[in-house]
Amino acid sequence: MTDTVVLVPLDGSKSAPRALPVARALAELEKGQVHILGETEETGPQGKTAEAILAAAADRGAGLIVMSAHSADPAGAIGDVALAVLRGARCPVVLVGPTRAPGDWALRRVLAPHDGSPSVSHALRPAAELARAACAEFIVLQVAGGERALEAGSIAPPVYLDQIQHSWPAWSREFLHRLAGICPLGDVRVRLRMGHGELAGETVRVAGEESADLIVLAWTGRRDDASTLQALLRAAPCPVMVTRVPAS
Amino acid sequence: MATSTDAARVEGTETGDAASLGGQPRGAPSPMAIDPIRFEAAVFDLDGVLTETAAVHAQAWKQLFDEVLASEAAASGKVFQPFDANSDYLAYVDGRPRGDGVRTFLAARGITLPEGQAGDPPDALTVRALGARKDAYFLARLAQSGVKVFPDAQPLLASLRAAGLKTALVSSSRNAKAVLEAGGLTALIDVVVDGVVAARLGLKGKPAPDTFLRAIQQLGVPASRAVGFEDALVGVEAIRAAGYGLVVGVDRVGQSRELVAHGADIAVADLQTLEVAAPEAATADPRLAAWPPVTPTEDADWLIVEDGFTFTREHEIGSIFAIGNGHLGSRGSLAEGGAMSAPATFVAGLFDAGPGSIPTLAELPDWRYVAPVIEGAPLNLRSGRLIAQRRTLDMRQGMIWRDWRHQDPAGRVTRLQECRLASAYDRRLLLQALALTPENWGGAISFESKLDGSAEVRTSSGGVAVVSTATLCAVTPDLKARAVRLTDLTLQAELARTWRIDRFAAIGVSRQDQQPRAVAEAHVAAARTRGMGDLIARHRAAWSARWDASDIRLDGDPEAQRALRFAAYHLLSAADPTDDRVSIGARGMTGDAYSGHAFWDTEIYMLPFFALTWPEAARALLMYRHHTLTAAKAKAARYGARGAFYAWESADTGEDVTPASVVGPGGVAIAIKVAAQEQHISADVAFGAWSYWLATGDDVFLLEAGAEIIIETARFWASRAEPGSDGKRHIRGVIGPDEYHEHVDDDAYTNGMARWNLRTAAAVVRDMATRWPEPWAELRATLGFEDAEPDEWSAAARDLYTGLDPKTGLIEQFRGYFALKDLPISSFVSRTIPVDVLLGLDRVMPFPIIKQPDVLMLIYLLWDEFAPEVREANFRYYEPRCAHGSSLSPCIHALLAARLGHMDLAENYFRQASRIDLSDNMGNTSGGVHIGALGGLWQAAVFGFAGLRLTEDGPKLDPKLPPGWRELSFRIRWRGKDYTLNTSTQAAPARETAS
Repeated sequence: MTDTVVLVPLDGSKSAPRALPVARALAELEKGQVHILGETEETGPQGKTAEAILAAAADRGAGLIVMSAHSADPAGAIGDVALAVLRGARCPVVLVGPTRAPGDWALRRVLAPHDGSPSVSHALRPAAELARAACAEFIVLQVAGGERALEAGSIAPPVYLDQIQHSWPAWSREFLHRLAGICPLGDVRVRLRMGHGELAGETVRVAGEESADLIVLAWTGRRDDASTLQALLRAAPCPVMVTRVPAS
Repeated sequence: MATSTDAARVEGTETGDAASLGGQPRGAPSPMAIDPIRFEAAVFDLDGVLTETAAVHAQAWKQLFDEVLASEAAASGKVFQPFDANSDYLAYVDGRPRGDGVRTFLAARGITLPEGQAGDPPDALTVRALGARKDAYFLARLAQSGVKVFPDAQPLLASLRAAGLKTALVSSSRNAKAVLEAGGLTALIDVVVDGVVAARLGLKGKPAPDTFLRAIQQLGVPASRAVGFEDALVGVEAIRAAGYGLVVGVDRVGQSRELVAHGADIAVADLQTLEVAAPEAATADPRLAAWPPVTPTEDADWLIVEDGFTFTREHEIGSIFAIGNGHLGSRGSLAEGGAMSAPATFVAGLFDAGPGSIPTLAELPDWRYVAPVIEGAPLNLRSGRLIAQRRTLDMRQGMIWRDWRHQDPAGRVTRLQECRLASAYDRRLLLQALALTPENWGGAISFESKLDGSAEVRTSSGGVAVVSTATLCAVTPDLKARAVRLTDLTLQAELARTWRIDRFAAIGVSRQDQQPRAVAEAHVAAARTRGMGDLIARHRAAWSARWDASDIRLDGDPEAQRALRFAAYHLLSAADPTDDRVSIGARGMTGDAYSGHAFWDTEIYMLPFFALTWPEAARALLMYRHHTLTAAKAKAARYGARGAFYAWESADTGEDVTPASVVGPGGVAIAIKVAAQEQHISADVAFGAWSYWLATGDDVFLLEAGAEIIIETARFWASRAEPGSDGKRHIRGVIGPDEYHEHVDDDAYTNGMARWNLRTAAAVVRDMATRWPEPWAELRATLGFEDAEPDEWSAAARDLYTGLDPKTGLIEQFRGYFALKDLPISSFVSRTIPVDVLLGLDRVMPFPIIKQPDVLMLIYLLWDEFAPEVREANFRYYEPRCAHGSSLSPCIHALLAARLGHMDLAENYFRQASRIDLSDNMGNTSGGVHIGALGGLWQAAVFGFAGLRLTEDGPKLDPKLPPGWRELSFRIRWRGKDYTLNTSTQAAPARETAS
């Protein structure tokens, strides 16, 4: 992260302040400061609110935006403002679900779904830095069954596991090695998990199993990827950090 | 016959009348060089070459024959003409087996005696009795006078071994070992082929080449790379007939001309006139070759090319571009390294304790790391701008090429070209040649290197390997070479002037060399003297010979052609016919995955390629299994069985080194049960031994190793096949090739192969007792064989449960398999990981989804035992149920589909199999190429699409080619004859070529 400003937009909703403990904890890890963007300052029509947030983030050189994710639509998990912020932010955005219990938050375990592509590895850098600062465990989750990443240098789930006692450690070593080549992990404790099925559901399942404190999702920003994000946020047992991956 | 020109060049002498060497002035004969690069082994006769026992023998013969002749003269009234201990000995006895000596001399005197029998009384007038009497006289004289070793023998032996040559003794005497021991020479000789061995194996005596051929076979050295030393005329004839590269006549009695006339290349009176050294450089002013040192192959069908640079793929590239010669393997990683570079060089058979104390191939010091530093800035792909890079695996010539142009942050453009190889000519050598050209600048170039000089690695079990390097560099245009140390080297580069660097690395290893460092250093010095051009030329010639025997040509599908050659390349790179103490690991020496451990892959997937195109390599692989029988028998005993239960995973000793557990994809520890339950490997090894014997007719192998393997594994099955209440016998609690189902009873493959094993063992015993009664008598005593065993095996085979339903023709994969509830594989058509990972093994086991062919594997291997309708029915049943969780699966399905005429399926499976390592999609290849699957790919082409069948009448084809394939052609060797086999759209008969 290039800045240590952690921006927390509050829109006056009841759930908005739930983001604060998370923001404070992250700011402490970053040795930074929390900047609150209150509703009385720049709120306005929804579109402008997102614009205002993004403008403030740019002005203050925010390295992180932490905000509550809620939607007027009961079926949705993320409102239009948050979605617009996600699309426009140059820094990672941490979304705190409305169901998160108020109170302190600490980063002990990060869960990062990964499709094996170099782009996602690159997008995970901010999360890796946080994990290093927090001495947190970094769990990488590859969910098989979906589309294979086509980017050059991607590593797909192993099609063959001749002898699992050798193939699995070799493949997972390779996976993590490729990740570390792009996303320096230093002495962070890293584990690789394999899941299968639908990305959001599997991520939520494993997050619960592992008692993850933060899910990190590399997101292209494409509309067709938003459904995964929605599904994840709807059920995630912990905050979700969204980092941007180039769409191409 | 070896050419005298070659021998003379090797010696460093002028060609000419070799006999004149015997007439050289006394005082200071000029030494003649035995080049340790050119020769790998030295084979010596005993009497008259190493020891002065010839005179003792001659006197013993005289004592014997004078008695016989005197008695004959007295009886016939003829004049007694005694045996001449010089002329008669040399002409009729010297070098011959005892019995031949008796017959030959007496025949010259017009006397013929009956052959007699072993145990004839000493005064009997039979050939056998006289031979025994002579032996008694010899031993008595030996005991009285001791053994005199020629003073020139021990120094030569010692210097040959110090240079890394293997040594053997060939003698007609049955007392050779006793003489060696008495002379203090035992430690200097690796292999002894004496009269005892010759009798046991039925080897003919000199002048037949049998015993000299046996010696180099035991040493694992081709005849052309061996030097033979003999003092007897029949001896030099025998060595010449064996095709040795150099025949040295040892003249102790003034018969140099006769020795040369009988086949010696040179005759020496004093072995100290020979020295072990590289020949003098061809010119006084050696130069390095301009770039390239050899013309790269241009035919794309021989090349695997990687353009550009995707750094996350570097581990895969390192595997795909690995070089090897069966003794050494080195990954094709970037010379200057990088964050994603994982270089590794291995030597076969050297294991160190890895995680959990599991043995893993030890990594040698990094000989090929060369990182240029341009004006103080490292030149690498991490900084600056890549202009172009092409890396090429030149399979034809067994080497890798690199052409890299790079602009550093300061704007300097440098071109680095490199080639690298593991010498197929001299397996101790690794070679690297580089060319550095500043394209738009001039200035200082220095280098980082990880190895200048010698470095060693020591394993926890005391093994030692030493890598010794030497470097030459030169600059255009004169390219005059000078020896340098890279780390001390700073070049003043001028614009557009190319610097050439040649690097030589030689390896000595304690498993084979008493002094690994001395061997490595002597070897690298000899290599440097020879020069890169000469060594590359010999390497290319060796690869050319290999491809002549092992190439497979496909017309009509370039991708498939490259894949087949890729398969053959890595198989050829993995095998060392000179070393029968190592096998080929699942990833060879192309990476550290699988720790270098060998599995059933070797015998079932790789061995057919070697048995039919490189039988010497196949033999060495099977001898490894013979050497590890002790461990297999110990494992059987631990499991309460008899005979041999081979290790599921094997390293150097044959003990089972399968890890006990692994933390799986779900993050939970998984117990690994294959070591205990996947028992079919015992039958697989026996099948490999038998298949090799069928292909080669190598009776000596059967006698000394193959029979024992087949018998001991049959004993294992006999003890595992338990009688059931149904009157059948059952093998319970196993895992078949389908590892998705554990602890099953009566696995079809296991039972089927066990049955085959039992029947074959019974047949082998009957055959040996009939054809080779004496060797069999010796073997049965060694084995503790009981006469009732073959009948027991036959009964067990007859009663073993088969699982065949005669109504449907289907074979039940294991007891209860047909009762499993079906789960459509189509659910997983688009699956991206093995189904046991997708669902978890415990969730797969209740279903009939299988990991890889089990019943179908049995049908393939024992094809003729199954009716056509049974083959078809089982293919239709099991193929859709196979999830191909193993890389060993698609190739066998391709083969069977082709044989059965399901061409779309066959082609689809073939493509899958061909892309396991070469496609950019899995990451599995990062730890090494899948050599078993590559062997299976070759089998799919040869036994599937070409439809090769090996019959008593020779090889026949039944081709079924995919639509785009116009022709498939390849060579095999079958029962000692070479065949060129060719398909086309019409079936073409196999054509026998000159053998």
